[in-house]
Amino acid sequence: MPEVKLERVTKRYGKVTAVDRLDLVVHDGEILTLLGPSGCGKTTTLRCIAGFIVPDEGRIFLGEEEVTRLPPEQRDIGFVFQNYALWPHMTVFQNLAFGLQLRRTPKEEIRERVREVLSLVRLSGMEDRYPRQLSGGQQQRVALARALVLRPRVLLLDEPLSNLDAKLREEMRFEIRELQRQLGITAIYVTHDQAEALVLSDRIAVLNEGRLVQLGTPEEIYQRPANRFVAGFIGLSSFIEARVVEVEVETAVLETEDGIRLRVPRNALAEGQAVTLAVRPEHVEVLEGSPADPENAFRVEVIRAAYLGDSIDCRLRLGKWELRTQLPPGRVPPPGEALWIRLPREKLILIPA
Amino acid sequence: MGIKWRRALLEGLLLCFIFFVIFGPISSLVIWSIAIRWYWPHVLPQEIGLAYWKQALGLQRDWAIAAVSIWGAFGTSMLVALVSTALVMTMAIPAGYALARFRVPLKALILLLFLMPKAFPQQPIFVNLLPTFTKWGLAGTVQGVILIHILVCLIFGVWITTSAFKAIPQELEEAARSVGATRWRTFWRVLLPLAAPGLLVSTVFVFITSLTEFTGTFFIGLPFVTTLPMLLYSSSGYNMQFASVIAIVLLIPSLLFMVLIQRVFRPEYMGGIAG
Amino acid sequence: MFLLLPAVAFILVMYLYPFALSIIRSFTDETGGLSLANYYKAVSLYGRDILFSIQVAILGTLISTALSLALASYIRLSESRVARIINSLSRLGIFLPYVVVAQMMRSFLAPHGLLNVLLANMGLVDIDTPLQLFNIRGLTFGFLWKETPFITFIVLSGLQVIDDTYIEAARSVGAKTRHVILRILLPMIKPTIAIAVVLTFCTIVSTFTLPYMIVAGNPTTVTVDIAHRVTYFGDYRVASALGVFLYLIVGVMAVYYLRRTVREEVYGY
Repeated sequence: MPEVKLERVTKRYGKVTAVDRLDLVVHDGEILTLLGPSGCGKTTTLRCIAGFIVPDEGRIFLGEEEVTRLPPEQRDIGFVFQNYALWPHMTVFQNLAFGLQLRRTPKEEIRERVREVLSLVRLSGMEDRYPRQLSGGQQQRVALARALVLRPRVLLLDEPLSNLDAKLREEMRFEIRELQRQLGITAIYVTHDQAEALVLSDRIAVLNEGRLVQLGTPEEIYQRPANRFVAGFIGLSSFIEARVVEVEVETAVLETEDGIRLRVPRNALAEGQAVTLAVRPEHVEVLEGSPADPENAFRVEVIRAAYLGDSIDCRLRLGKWELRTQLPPGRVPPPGEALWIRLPREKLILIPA
Repeated sequence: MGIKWRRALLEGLLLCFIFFVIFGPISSLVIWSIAIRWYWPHVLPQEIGLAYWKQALGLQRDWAIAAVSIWGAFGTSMLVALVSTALVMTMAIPAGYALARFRVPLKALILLLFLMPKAFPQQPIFVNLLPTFTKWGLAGTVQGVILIHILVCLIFGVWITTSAFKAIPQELEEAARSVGATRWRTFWRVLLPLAAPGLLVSTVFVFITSLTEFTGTFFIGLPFVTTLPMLLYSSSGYNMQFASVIAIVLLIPSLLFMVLIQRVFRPEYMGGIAG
Repeated sequence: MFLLLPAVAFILVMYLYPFALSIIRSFTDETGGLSLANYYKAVSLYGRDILFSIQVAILGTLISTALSLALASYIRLSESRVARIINSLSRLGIFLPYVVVAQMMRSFLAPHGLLNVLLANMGLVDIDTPLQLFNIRGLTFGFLWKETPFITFIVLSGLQVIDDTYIEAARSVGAKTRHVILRILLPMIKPTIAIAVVLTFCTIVSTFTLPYMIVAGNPTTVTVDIAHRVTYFGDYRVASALGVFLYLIVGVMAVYYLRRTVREEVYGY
């Protein structure tokens, strides 16, 4: 399986630049997710790779071959659509066989390959059904099978799970991941759902306003977001803006406008530098009573709390800043109640402002 | 690049061909309507002028030109079309509303009745109405022609009106009922204003259908009721110029309708006209 | 249902009654007895015209359908400006009445009409023997001129409802343009095409104006024969028998159309 390479790919619609000088390499056999909010250019990028759109500038390679201007029918790709796009006048078998027939595959082999791929997506025996006779999840798997039956060079998936209900969606994440591993196929997956991206990607490319913002494994993206946008988009984060006021041997001290002082690892911080702190909900430690160790410990006020069953979602006020955290299930603190918390220094995410 | 050029060339040729096929016959009408003398095989007339137009519009009276004023026929056509349209719509709007909104008993049969005239030729109907009309003194009268036009137009009226009402979500009516409007008030204040564009299309289509109706008028109206299409027919045998003038006059409302339907078009209305 | 009553009553009296009458009359002789004499007469006098009507209807329907499918597919798939112009142009003829179209064809297709003038000046026809088109050729051309835009419009409305992803899905598995059209687009709207074809066929069979105004002499269509029978001979019985032949010609198609539409309206499929 070849790698997919994009070189400075640009696509404009009138004055809007949907994709802006995008460079990206998708390695052989990996599943890479294009993640971002709607309008970030992820679907446009995918459609450029598929050949449904020709980019205004830049080049696209599948393996060694440049395919920038090649029509989609000559690219040897598999594409899974958000609405599945199963041809309603054809049975499941005919849907799957269509591409093979166009390649003049012998009848016997077509039957064999359709049977094989249907058992792969656990739909054996559904050959003669029409798409309208299948459930949403089944249609989704037929769409996947239609893309896989041709053994394409690369599998492209455009928000394939967004029309399914929450429960099925979670199951299918694992199923797609499992299939991709099993077949070792190179796959590019577009989604706006960060949880989906974290579960099924080898690597994630975060896009915003047509540009690549960060590229990395799910762990890297979650633990070391490159900027405020990524920190806010992937996982929940609360932000505190501050300035470096002291630099010591191993640590540095930050101070906010309203006089809150925090100690953080020194890293490469310089005195006077402005930084943004991103605080994940799970990194807020709630203390029992007033703390013995005063480092990064603060007295905060509950703004409001909501009971979620397995936890309590809680918004806290720290000076002028708002922090979000999850408390273990139990008593729901009323608004206005005071709490002690600690923000452990090694867990704080520092983003240069 | 080679493929692109070849494609552009093919598209250009196709456009020219379609342009010629569509505008050839139309321009033939236009040229004939202003041709005073046109000898074979010259591409354009030897002498052109508006003499036939003037004569037809009653602006001049010249015995050398074989054309009469069209105003008489125009008046008859307008009278017939206006009365027919008014009567058709008074029947079609309630019928369309009922078909769109209520569970009507024997619905399949009623629909069948309204569809048959679209599927089967109507000419034998006119032929078989003629003896009856003659007996009742309706043949050759404006009243008789109006009855025939209502027959021809009613089904279009009913079908387009039905689709116009159907296109309006029932929730909008239910919302009006829920805030205390009666069924009658809901119809007048909610449904009718929303359906107005569709009803307009329906009315105009019915009007034009009546204005240009030929076959029914031919059997029931001739030789005493002369509408514009009848005048066109009777002059087309001997006077190409005059016939062309009338044809252009009859063509204008249809073109205007085309413009109207581009403005307020919904595919559902086409369903009423065609399917 | 009192809302439907006026319309239904009108159609019953003014349509269904004469419809029944036309069938009854066709089986009646001068004395009022039951007989097939009208049919013998209709076939022996107008047998050739019955075949002519069928021939024109089949020819007109087939050609206009083929042209429309090609044109509509082209307009649907092409993004060029030319395609948009062609789309607007093709709609021009849809609502023109047959009486106007007939007059147009009469002047355009005449032996010394504009078409022959142009062809003669380009040297494509001989000045002394211009094309004679007031026959099946001209009649078919007239029907094509009117019906092709109509079918194109219906088919195109059907095609425009199809989401682009169905086309892209086909392309992604390797379909070329012709596969997309023949295996995906047109099969997806088969019911719409069927309705358009049926209505066109029925229209061509039923139209009286166009053949009456442009076909010179024989053979001609059954609709013209009916008018002759009535206006020259006052013979309503043979005219009715000819009418029944018209019903039979459109029969299968008309019944298909009626069944489908009623089923769709009443049961929603």
